Amino acid sequence: MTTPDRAVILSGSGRPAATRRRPWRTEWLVLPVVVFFALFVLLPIAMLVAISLSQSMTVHALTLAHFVRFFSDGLSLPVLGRTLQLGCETSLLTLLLSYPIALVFNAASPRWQRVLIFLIVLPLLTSAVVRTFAWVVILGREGLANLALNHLGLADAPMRLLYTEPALVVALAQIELPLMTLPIIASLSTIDPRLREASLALGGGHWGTLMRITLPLSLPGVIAGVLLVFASACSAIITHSIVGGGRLLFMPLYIYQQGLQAQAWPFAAAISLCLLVAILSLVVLVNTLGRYLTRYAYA
Amino acid sequence: MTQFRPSRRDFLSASAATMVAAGAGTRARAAGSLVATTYPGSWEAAHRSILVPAFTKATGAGVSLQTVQALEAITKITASRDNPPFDVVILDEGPYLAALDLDIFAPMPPSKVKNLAEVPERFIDPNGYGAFVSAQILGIVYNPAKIKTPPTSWLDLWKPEYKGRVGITGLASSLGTAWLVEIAKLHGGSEANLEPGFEAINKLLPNVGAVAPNPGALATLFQQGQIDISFNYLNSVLPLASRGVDIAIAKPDSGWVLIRNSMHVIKNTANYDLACEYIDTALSTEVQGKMASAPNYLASTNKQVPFQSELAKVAKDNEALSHLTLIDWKTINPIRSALIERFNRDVRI
Amino acid sequence: MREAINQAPRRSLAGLIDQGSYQVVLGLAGCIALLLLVAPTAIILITSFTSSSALRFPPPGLSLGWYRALLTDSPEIVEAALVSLRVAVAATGLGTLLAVSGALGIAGSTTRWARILDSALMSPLLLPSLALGLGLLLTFTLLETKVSITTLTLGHTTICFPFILRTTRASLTQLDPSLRDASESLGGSPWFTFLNVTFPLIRGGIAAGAFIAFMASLDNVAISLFLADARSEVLPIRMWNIIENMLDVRAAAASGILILTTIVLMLVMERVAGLSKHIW
Repeated sequence: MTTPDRAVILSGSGRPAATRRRPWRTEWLVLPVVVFFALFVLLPIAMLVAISLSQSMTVHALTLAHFVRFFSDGLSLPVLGRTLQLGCETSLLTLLLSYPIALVFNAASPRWQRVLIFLIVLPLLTSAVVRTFAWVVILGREGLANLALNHLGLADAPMRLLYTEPALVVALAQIELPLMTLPIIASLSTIDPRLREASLALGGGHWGTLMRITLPLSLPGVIAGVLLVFASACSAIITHSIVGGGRLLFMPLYIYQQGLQAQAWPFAAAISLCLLVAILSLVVLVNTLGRYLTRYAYA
Repeated sequence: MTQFRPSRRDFLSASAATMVAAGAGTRARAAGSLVATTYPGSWEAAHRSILVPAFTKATGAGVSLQTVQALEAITKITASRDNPPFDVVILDEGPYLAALDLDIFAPMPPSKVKNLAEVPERFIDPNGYGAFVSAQILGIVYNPAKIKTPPTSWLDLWKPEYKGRVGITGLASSLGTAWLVEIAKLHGGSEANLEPGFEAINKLLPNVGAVAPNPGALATLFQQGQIDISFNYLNSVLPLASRGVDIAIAKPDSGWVLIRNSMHVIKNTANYDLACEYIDTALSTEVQGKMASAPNYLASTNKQVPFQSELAKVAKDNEALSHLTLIDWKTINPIRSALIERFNRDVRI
Repeated sequence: MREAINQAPRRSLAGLIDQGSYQVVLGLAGCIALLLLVAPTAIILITSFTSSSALRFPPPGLSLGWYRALLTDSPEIVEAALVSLRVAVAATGLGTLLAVSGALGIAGSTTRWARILDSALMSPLLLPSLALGLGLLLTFTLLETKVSITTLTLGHTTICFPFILRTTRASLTQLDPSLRDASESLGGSPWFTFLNVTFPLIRGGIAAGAFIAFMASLDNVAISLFLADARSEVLPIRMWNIIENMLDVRAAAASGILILTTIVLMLVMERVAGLSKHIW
C-alpha cells in the first residue's frame, strides 16, 4: 500500500496538517521531568563540585585542598579502595549465585515461573534493613551459622563471623541477589531457544552450549546486573554499618561522618565526588568492555 | 469506549489529596512539640518510658526525641545557631565545659525551672546555663556466664584468654575517652599525657572483637554474645541484666569513674518555655525517683531522691558519689578532635 | 525429524554424563541460591514470633507478645512508619506524574536527544544515593530552605521517578502506534487519545513501576539521612537505631509486619496489574 501523506490523513478533516493548528507538541511533555531532573539531580551534583572546591561554607575562595587531603591523608584512599573492592567482590559472588537461578527460571514451566518470580522479587521489595537484620541473627556468635558449623563439626568454638569483610560480602551478595537475577532473566528470555536446540543437536553438549551460546548471548543482562549490584553494594550504608561493624569504614559512612557529624561539608562533598567519579568510571569501563565482548560474541 | 473508570480518577485525586494532607499534617504537629536529644541505648529507653510521658502529662505537648551523642549535638547546634535543630540537649561534662565558650545555651532561671530548688548548689551551672540531671558510673563489664570470677582491674582486658572477646568504643563518646584516661593513668600517664594509653590500646588490638559506634551499641554486643568483656556504665548494664542478658558490672581496683550529665536549653529556640518545663520535669522528684530505681539506675541529683539498691552499693548518696574519680575535662577538651582522629587511625584496619 | 536429531547425542555415555552433570550441578546451585534468597527473610519472620527477649534462631517458643508490644508500646516506631508512608505516597505520586509525561514525550520523538535523555533520566539509579543526598542538602541550603518533610519528599521523588519511567517506557514500546494513529485520524484530540487508547494499555506498566518506586521510597536511607529533620524520622532509620543500639525484639516484629505487608501488596499488584509481566 502506498503511503499517502500521513499528515493529510491525520488531520481528519481533509485539510493539510500545516493549516491545522497544533498548540503543542508531544515532545514538550518531557519538560516537567527535565526541569525536575535539572533542579534536583544536576544542580545537587553541581553543588557538590562547587562546595568541594571552596575553602569552607562561608569562605568562597577556590581551592583544591580538600581533594589533596583526600588523596594524601592516608585514611581516605584506603576507604575508597576498600569500598570499590567490596563492590567487585559482591558483584562476582552475586553473579555466581544468580546465574543458576536465572537458568532454572528459564527452563521452568510457566506455573513455576510465577512462583519463582515471586520468590525473587519479594526480597527486592523487602526493606534492606530487615534483610540486614536477618544477617545479624544468622552471623552472631550464637547465631544460626555458628550453630550449623558446630553441628557439622567444622568448628568447635564459635567463630567470629560478624564484623568481618567476608561476612559483609556474603550478606551483601544475598541482599543484591534479585537485582542481578532479574536483568539476567530478561536477557536469557531474548535468546532464541532454537539456537540452544541446534547446538545440542549438533553435539555441543549442555556445558558447551552454556559456555558458547547462552553465556555470550546473555552478556548484556549480565553487565546490567553487575553494574546495578556494584553501585548498590558501594552505597549500602546500613549493611556496612550493621554487618561490617565499627572497624571497617566504607565510603557511605565516611561521607556521613564528615558531613553530618564533623560538619566538614567541603571535605564531605569532595569525598562524595570521588565516590561518584569512581563508580561512574567503572560503569563506563564495564559498559565499553561489554560492548566489545558482545560484538565478539556475535561474530 | 469513553467510560471513565473510577480507579484511574481515584488514584489521581487520592495522590493529590495525600500530598496536601502530608503538608498540612506536618504544620499542625509542629505547633506544640519539643525536640530534645537523648543518648542511644538505655538512656533513650528510660526517657521514652519515664520522662516523655511525665512531660506530656504535665504540659500536653509532644516530644521528638533524637538520639545524638554529646559532641555531635554541639556540632549540629553551632552549624545552625539562628535556627537550632534541638530545643533541649543532654550533654556530658566534657562537651558541656567546651560548649560554654561557644555561647549556645539560653539561661535557665529558677523562676522557670522550679525544681532547681531541690538540686544541690554544686550541680547547677554558676551562670544559670544548665544543671546536672544525673551521673553515670563507669566500670568493667563482663559476661558472668562465661567469665566466672569477676575481673578486678582494667588490665584484665589484656589477658590472652580474652582474645577476640573484648569490646571497645571510640573517643567520640565520654565513655571511651574516660576509659582511655584510666588506662593511661595505669601506665604512668595522665590527662595531659595520653601516650601510654594509646600504646596500650595498640597492644589490645588482637583482643578486640568489636568496635561499637556508641556506648548503647557497646552494651548491645553482650546481648548477642558477641563480646564477653568491656567497659560501660552501670545504667547501660543493669537494664540489660534485668532483661535476662548475661551481663554484669564490676568495680575496677583503680575505682569507679564518674561522668556527670547535664541538660541545657539552647539559645534561639522557638520553644523556650516548653524547654524549661522539660528540664523541670527531668529534675522533678517523681521522674528522678523512677530513673534512679530499677531497671534504669540513673543516679539522681535531686536531694529528695535517695540512692537505693544497686546505686547504694556504689555510693550512699550524691555527696559520696562526688568522691569517685572524675576526669579533668578542661585538659582534654582542646585536644579532643585530635584524640578522636588518632584513635580512629590506630584502631581502624 | 527433530526428535531423531536430538536423540542421537543422548544415547552416548559422554552425552549422558554431560547432560546429567549439567542438570545436577545447575539444579543444586539453583536450589542453594534460591534457599539463600529466601532464608534470611523467613528467619526474621519466624524469629519475630519468639517468646524470649533475645534474638535467637530457632526461637525457644512462639508468641505474639512482641507484635502487641510493637503496636501498643512503641509510638516512636508507629510515628516513623507513618512518616515513611506519607513520604512514599507523595513521592510516588509526584514521580508518576513526572515519569509518565516524560515517557510519553520521549516516545513521541525519534530525535537523538530523546535517546540521550532516556539514559540520562535513569542515572539516579546508578549514582550513589549518599552523594545525591548530600548534594540535595547543599542545594536546599543554597536555596535557604530548611529541611522538612517537603524536602524529604522531593529527595525521594528523584529516586522514584526512574523506576516508573523505565516500566512506562517499556510499556509504550510494546504499544502498537497504529492504534494511536487510528484514534487521531478518526477525529480524536491527543488528550482524548491518551485517556482512552494509550493510558488503558500502559496502565499496568505505570502501576508496576509506581509500586516498585513506592517500596524503594519506603526503604530509602541515604537520602533520608540528609534531608529529614528531627520531626520526620523515617522507619528504616529508626529501625537501624533500634538494631544497633537496643537490639529489641520489637525490631523483629516491625520487620515481620513489613515482610507480610510486602507479600500482601505483591499479591494484590499481581492480580490488579500483572506485576510479573513488567518486572523484567
